[in-house]
Amino acid sequence: MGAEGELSGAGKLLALVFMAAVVAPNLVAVAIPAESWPYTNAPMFAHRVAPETPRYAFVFAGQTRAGDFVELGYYSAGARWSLLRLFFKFVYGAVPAGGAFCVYPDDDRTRLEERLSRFFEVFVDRYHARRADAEPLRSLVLGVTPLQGASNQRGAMRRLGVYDVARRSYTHEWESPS
Amino acid sequence: MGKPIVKATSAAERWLFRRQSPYCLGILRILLIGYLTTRIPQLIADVEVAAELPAEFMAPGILLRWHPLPFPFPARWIGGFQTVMMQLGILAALGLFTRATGLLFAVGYIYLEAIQSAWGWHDHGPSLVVQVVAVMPFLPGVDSLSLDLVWRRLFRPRRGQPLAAALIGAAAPRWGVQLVLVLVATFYFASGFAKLRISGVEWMDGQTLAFYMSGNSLSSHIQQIGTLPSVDAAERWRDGIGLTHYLYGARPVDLARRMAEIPALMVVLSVATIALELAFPLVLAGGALRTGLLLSGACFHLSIYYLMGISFFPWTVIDFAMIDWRSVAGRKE
Repeated sequence: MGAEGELSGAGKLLALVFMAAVVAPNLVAVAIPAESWPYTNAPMFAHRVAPETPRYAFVFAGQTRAGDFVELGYYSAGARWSLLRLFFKFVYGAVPAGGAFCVYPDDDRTRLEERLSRFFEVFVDRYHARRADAEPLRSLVLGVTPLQGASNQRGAMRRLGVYDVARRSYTHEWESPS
Repeated sequence: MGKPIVKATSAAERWLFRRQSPYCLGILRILLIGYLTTRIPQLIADVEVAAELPAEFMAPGILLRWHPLPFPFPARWIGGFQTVMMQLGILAALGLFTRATGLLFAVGYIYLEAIQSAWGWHDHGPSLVVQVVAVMPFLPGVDSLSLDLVWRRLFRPRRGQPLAAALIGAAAPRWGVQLVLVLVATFYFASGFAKLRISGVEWMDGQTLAFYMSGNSLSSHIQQIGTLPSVDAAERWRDGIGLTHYLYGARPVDLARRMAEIPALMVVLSVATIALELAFPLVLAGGALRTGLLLSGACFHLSIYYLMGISFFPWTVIDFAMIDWRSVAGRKE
């Protein structure tokens, strides 16, 4: 291409290929829908929330060797930001298969326990390293609690499973009533 | 049958390859890269924290997995990387060796944003911005309003060419501007489409907007997780609930909280949001539609930032820069 000349046929073709390569992955991400940053189906704020919509929060309840329970936030393991988003999407796993946040469409109990074992192993190691002054943990209970009302009052925790620190293994305990 | 195809091909060719003044891309380069350069220290600070985290606390996306720079970020790079990125950003914004500095800035900027976005976000804010930054060095006319053109004017002056014309640069094929507009339109449309795909027309009942504008998404370090009524019983095996998504956070000001108490207003704003996002591909038609939609997009983000504390400032910059100001002033190409 000259400074002011017309684009040649090859130049036009090259420009078209370049444009397609840039735009196509974005269109695919929207159509499937799929998510692998920076390609996204843009689900920010897309889920309807009404006063009656159930909302929940995960609970990490550590049990010390002395038997006391201590609730662990994401910052306990040194993350300055909300580790719970990553935990929910990439470790615990969202449903439904094909949904905007679902990473493990063919998930099962064994795979879930493997992921959670690995995550909690690192989480607890980091916690112990950062909180050398704190009572060491014997286990870590994973639960989920409903959030109620405008002030997000927490309801009774539903126990989902437990990570055994000595065995470095997570056991998922929740059984849906058949 | 053949005639409409010929006409369509010809129209597409004009739409992509007709030459026009490239000043939009010059404004975009100066404003966007200039603004992003001011954000480098914050990005570096975030990456510094990420550098200390174990791999299990990160989920790198496709771009980070393919990126030539190593991940996790080597801690010893931090000081030097920030200096280099700031210098590249200034050079690229001013347009000195525009394409080279723009490309190197893009490589580094994508890397930093990819690391910051590797912790479970579904945030389409940086997704658009990094793609615009990535394509910019390859676009015809991106050196408009650059020091490169000043240099050329000083040392290779063309007789009779006014200074302003020399700074804006020669007319360039339109596909560069159109590609940026296609990306912008895709992201806005995707955002509106996702709301309808996931929540249906009920999203427009105003409840969701009222939830975020009333401050109920703020829960003091608690990440709220949601579910959808449509989840199958079989998919609830993990917890009996079927958790589908996490909620985002907004930090509304008092005015927003008061607005959230007016249901009719929430409905109107919700409908307007979806309408604007779905209509955005019309920006590709050019003219008044392009101007109107880009101005609306910029105002949309500024008002969200003011009312809810959610920053999409780089999008505002892109919207503003891509307005065809010559057309607004009534000047023809």
